[in-house]
Amino acid sequence: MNHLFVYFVAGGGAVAILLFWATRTKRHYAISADPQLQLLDALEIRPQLLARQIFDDGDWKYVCDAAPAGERKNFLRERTNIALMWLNEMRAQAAQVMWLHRQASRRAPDLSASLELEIAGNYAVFLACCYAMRVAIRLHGPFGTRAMMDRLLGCSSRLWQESEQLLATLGVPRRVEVTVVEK
Amino acid sequence: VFDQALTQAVWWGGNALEALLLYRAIRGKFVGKYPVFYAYLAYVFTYGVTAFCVYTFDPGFYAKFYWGLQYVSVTIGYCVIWEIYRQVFRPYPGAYRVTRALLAAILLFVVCRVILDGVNNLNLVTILHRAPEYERNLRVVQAALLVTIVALIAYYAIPIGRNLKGMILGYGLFIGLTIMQLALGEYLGAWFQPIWKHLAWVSYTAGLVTWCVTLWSYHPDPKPTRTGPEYDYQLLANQTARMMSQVRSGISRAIRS
Repeated sequence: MNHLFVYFVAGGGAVAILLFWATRTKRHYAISADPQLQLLDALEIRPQLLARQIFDDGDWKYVCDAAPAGERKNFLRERTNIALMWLNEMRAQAAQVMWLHRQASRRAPDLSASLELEIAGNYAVFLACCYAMRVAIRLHGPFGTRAMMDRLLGCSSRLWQESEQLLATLGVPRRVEVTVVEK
Repeated sequence: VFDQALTQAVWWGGNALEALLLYRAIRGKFVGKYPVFYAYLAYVFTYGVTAFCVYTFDPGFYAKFYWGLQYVSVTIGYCVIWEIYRQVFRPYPGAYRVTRALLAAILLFVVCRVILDGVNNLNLVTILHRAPEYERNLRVVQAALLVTIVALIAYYAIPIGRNLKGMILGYGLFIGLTIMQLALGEYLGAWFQPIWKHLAWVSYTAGLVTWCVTLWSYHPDPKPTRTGPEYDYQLLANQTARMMSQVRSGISRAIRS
């Protein structure tokens, strides 16, 4: 009975995946500089430095001491949104590197299949971790996840530095702009 | 009488759609573009007409005839998947190699399973007696191969034409629905057989209709475009691998803390 149910679900899953793939909107990718990042460049503020401020609980302690309950709630909501935006930014940075990598690798005759699978696996784990962090930030707020974020900030700094180095080596403007075009 | 009329209508309807597809491909001169796929369609068309004759003149033999030739149909189906893989990934040598490695791994896994399950138990009697079970397992492997191909098309953002997309979708619908029907048939047992007789055609008709819509005329696949500068693969691969590995371990540690 159980194995038949698994087969039934497997068949249904295959149909669902194919229908989703065939009907999804087509994504067109184009490389262009992100105006928001250009603004940060002009102000000489790096996104990874912003992150320290976002997750630092100094502001939160001040608001807790000085502001009424309603304001505290608003502050926490806005800081959570900013934290989530920062997380998206980090994911987008990794996505840009991966997109360039896939563009290069799909036509590379000297490609190493095992290296490709390793990269894809690591990227999948990275995306899953980003999702888990998203859930953690939503559940505990940006200040309730401090221990996690302390480690994460170091990791994100490396990601930013290395990806920017790589993009500079390739002569690519920062940030891939993704435009979704209806089919 | 109604049951007979329905069987015949579905049967001849399916044959008519197959004939129409073959006619359009021959008239549009694109049979040669997808030779294995059209060979598969020609086989199914011939099989359908022959099966009708067997069903009419010797209904008792029909079940053996049907399940016996299903193996041939499944085998040609594997060739159709091979053609899809070849057509989609040929202009992209890198993606071609990764896909080949993954598909080979799936097939190797299946071969190992078959060997472990005991090839000694397989003989002609059990193959015919347990035909639906074997067909279901073979179809599951086909579904796994097709889903892997689709995943890699999406991963590498490979542009494909309407014909190939329709071929994948049509064959995928047929395989997926067949797996569901075979699992349902095995679970519900003998009383499901009269329903199964009609339901078996639903999956194939879904595929045929999809093919009729998407393979009505020839749509060549988009040529690989070379937008932007050419990037050095080795440089990118090494740096991306190092970066992803560091980020992954860093984030994993962060989440564990």
